[in-house]
Amino acid sequence: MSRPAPLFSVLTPVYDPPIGVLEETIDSVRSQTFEDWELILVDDRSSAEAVREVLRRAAGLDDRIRLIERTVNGGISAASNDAIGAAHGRFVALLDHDDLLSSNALGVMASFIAEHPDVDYLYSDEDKTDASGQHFGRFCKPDWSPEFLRSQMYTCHLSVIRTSLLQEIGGFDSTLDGSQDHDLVLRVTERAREVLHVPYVLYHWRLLAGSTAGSLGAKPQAWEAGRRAVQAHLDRMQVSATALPGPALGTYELQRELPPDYRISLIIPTRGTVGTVGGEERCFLLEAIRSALDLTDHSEIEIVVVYDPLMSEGLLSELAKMVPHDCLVLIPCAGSASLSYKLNLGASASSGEALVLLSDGVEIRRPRWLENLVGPLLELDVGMTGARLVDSAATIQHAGYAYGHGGYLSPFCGVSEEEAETVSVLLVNRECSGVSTACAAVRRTVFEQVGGLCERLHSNLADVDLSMKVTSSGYRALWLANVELYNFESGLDCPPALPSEYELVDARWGVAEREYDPYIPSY
Amino acid sequence: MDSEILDPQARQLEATRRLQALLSFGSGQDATSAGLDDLKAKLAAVVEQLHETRHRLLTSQDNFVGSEAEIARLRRQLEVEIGERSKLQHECQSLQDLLSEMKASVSWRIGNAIVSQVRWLTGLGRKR
Repeated sequence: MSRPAPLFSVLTPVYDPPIGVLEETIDSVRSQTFEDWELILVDDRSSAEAVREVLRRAAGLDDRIRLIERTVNGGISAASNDAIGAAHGRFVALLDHDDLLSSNALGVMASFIAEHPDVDYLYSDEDKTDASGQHFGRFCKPDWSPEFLRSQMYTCHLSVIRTSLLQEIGGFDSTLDGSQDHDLVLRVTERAREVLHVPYVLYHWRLLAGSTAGSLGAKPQAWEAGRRAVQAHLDRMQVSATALPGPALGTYELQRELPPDYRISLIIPTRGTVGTVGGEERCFLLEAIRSALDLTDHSEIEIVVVYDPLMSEGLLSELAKMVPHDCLVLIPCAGSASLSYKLNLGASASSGEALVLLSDGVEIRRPRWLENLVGPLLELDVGMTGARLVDSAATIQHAGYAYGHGGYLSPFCGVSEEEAETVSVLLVNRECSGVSTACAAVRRTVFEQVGGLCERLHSNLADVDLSMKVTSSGYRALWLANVELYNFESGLDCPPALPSEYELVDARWGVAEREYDPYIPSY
Repeated sequence: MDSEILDPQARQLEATRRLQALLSFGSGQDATSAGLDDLKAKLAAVVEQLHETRHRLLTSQDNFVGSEAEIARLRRQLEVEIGERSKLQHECQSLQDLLSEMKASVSWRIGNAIVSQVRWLTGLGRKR
């Protein structure tokens, strides 16, 4: 009599692993506290007969272990696809031949599946382990972050996928070997009804010579395969963007495109402050606009300047010379008014489909900033985007807001550019809890739907509140590492938040009660 | 809250109607220079009114969204409190049941009889 279908099929393609390591991998499945599983081992024609002997012995010891012996070596995707074809479980769990499951891995996954009947894909946190069994490098992953997945394969292990969905998409693509798992997860998540992050370390990635865990550089071809996988995903999703190699191995950068007639309103409140940057005197507003126009190819731009009537006439005429007459909207507003009031005023007088809220103290650092900042808003589930802001010393000033530990944080503030190169969440685009309005793009319909900025908030809590309104309405907020601006002190900075402002934001969102941020959980 | 939102919406509609009326007036007539200036001024005034109304709509919508968020948060808090309370009530009832069961047991009654005798003897000792 055949066994009823188990909840999990653990799939392990095998090709010439060290014998002891393979035995430990199999043991880590056999010692699961949750017992409703099958293990499908696929030997991809290992050169060492000893490997097959270990596999046969394991299959003989436990009737939940099945062995498929391929007659020719076909690579990891072909072997994995054989395993998928043989899987009886409702879900498959992917386990590499040299890694380890924690003993509660399948049990924890089973409890999450029971609580989320529509879940199609789950991924857990993971760590690394060295030859001596020491655990290190715990990777606390963000909650489901589709933009981050486009930028790098972050879900990795342990990945559990509904078998029917996996079969529907046709399993692994062997033309993308090296990044076949990234490609698979992109295709799975395109169709998944629910994707779930399981915030427990359930997988131990063993650091062996030549493994991807040890060095991405050991498999440079994986990077190009990953880039092709991301591009194919963008094409399937009809996202107008080009996937490029990112700033670090295994990362990708999305170069966005905008329809030429997509009207964008830059809303810039200003007092016309003049200051010194790098020993040179400048009018912040003029430099902000000059760099904004110079570093974009997009031309359908309207510039709405909300200016202090006490500002010099000369500055206004300078401005009029710089910006074509029909693209410039000048709105007078008392300098003492709050930033949120000025931005709302500017937004009300603007006509763009997308609004870019911009401090007059910025200077754009990278080309195509507007395309990359506004482009994501063409995906209708993205509500707002923000930029990487650095100060005059080029240290990180803003990398998205994070909410937790009883407050609102600006993670990585003060981190030097050199240090930032080692922190992957500072290198690539990703979801975040909120962004600063020193540079933020919001689709007009979303801005109006949430009521713009709260004018009862005079401090930068207005940013926090706007972000919460947008994300609570079901939109994604993105922080974009490839949109980089200097943000100098222009004298238009927000005053410190009053206790009453904290109370208002907390009454609305209860941010103080949040234990950790969903996108930067380890911060 | 509803009237707060509907009022600016009505004002926006009115402003749009006036704007359209002014624009159609301009295209259908040979306006004199003075008439044109007057028309431009009127147009600017209506556009300003439209912006002002849009701005008021934004603040009203912010109040609306904020209040909804506050209500949702209070509801969640209430649910948690109710859950906690019912859990405590349940625990309290279980403890009371346990206590009643214990008091009804033979060992409790024997112990109680002994303790009451000891109390009586202790009281007697104090009197002497």
